[in-house]
Amino acid sequence: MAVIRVRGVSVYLGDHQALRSVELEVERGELLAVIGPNGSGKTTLLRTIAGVLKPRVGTVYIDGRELREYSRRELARRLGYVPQRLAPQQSLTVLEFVLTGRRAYISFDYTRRDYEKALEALRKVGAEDLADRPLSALSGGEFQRVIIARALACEPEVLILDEPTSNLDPKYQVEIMELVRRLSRSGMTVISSMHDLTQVYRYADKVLALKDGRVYACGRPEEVLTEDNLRQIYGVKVRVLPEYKAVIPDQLPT
Amino acid sequence: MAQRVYELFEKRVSLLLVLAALTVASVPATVAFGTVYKPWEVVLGLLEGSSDVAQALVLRFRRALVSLLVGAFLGGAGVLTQAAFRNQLASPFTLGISSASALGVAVALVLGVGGRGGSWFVTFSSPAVLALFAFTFSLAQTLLVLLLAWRAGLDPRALILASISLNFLYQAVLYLVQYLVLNEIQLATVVFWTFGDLGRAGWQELSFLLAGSPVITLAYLLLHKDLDLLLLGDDVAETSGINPRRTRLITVIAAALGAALATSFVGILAFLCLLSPHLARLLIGGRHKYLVPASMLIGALILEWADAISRTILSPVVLPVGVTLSMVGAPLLVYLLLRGGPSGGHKG
Repeated sequence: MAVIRVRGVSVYLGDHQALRSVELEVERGELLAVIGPNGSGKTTLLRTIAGVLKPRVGTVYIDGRELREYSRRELARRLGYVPQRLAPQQSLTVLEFVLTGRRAYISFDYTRRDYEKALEALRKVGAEDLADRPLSALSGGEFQRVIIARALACEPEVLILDEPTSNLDPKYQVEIMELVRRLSRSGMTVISSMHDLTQVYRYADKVLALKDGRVYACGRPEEVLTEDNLRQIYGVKVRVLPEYKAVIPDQLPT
Repeated sequence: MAQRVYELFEKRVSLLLVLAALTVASVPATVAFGTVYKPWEVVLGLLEGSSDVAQALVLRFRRALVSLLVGAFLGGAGVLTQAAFRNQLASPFTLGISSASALGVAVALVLGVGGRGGSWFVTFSSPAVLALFAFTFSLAQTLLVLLLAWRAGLDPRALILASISLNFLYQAVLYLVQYLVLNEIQLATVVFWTFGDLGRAGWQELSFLLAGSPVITLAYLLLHKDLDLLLLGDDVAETSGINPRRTRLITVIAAALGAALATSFVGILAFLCLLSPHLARLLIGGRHKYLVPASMLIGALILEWADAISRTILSPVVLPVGVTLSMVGAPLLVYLLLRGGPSGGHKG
């Protein structure tokens, strides 16, 4: 049974309709990439699934139960959410930051067990040796891994990532995507919005393409990432190179 | 690896203990300073006596206790508001508490309940009435701000906008009252009232502060884990299992209570709410479990010593402590900011 089912969901941001009757199913352990131009509703969809935004019409189901039946705490234990931008203004060590991901498990204060879970999460992203470093001293790639560790600290079934690689250099991009795939192979369901279509092609199990808040296409990468579809979605000509699993812009500099 | 972090946490706990010890030890130590200097061992001995000197010392002792409590309230309230507004330059006074409480004092004077004002003198029937008006007005102002911000979804921007606009409104009404209604003496009373001065708090005021302190301290300390989350943004807070809007509401109310209580009795000491959180952050890091108590203790320490300086520097004139605080604190804060603290956030 699908871990996440989105049924006829429409979401409004103020007066603006950001999502229109979206349908989606994500199976356990699947890595779903959400693509589409800026403003097409990717972040809105992720925030809706994460329970931050309430759909005006339609329902989101998690493990067959309606999202609105979950309490914040219950939901926080099932879903790990990594926002697009996160700039903590405070001077924290990495471990303290990751620890905040355990909030849904505690009432008064974090216990030894929470510290251990936080360290375990850091281990999963290969950042255990950063535990005592100040957050402000991390490189972009290290910081991204630590944010993911924070989301993993709540031991979620579903990981929601909003453009996890958009601010990283190529080396870190690959590193993060390898990490995400590893997590997905270990049984975690991953939903991630992405801009880099080559990475989508290489790493995603399934692709959801949004345009103007509507589902334009949904399926396996090679089904969705066609030159025709992408021209329709992004309004720009691209070339798809299946032998390299790559998507490149068609236009050469004039 | 983990061991190193645990050691860091232990170090912070010992740092807090040192701060606490210093804060307590500063009470007899600062009592020694004043128009007449008495070494602290004399101080401790004399407190039991009944000579004139002993009576003077008892008054200084009261001031020291008031500064401890007020400093702790304001230091804590500063950290809370900064998290709620997600801005290190915010303080409970950003909410407009200062102008609201000053207006409260002015209104009390106009109504004649704070003391009858002839054209040449003001007689105070009960100074506590002024405090009561100041307190009521501050809380009313806070609730109004929250109500307005509530309509706009209680996000930090709405809070700041609502605060600032109401602040100006209060100021305008205050100026209007000052301009049209108050006589010179009443005017002077309002102006003087806005200087933070610890001498104003008597035994009754001290007992109110004491009564409020366990509730306020407990509230401040218990909020730590949610303050950490508020700083990470509302989406992150929400998906981590707390309601950011409700948490922000509780935080602001708790901070406003502490600040209003302190302000009603000793006047406006806004600067402390900026200075002590900043120092505490440099000393102990940004995690609120340590930051809140550290800022409370540092606030108490600073105010204790600032008052000791106020009593001695131009002796026998006793300066309002607010003046000393800003004169010493402002250059210090500017220095720390220019030197570049950990407040810069993370790099790309």
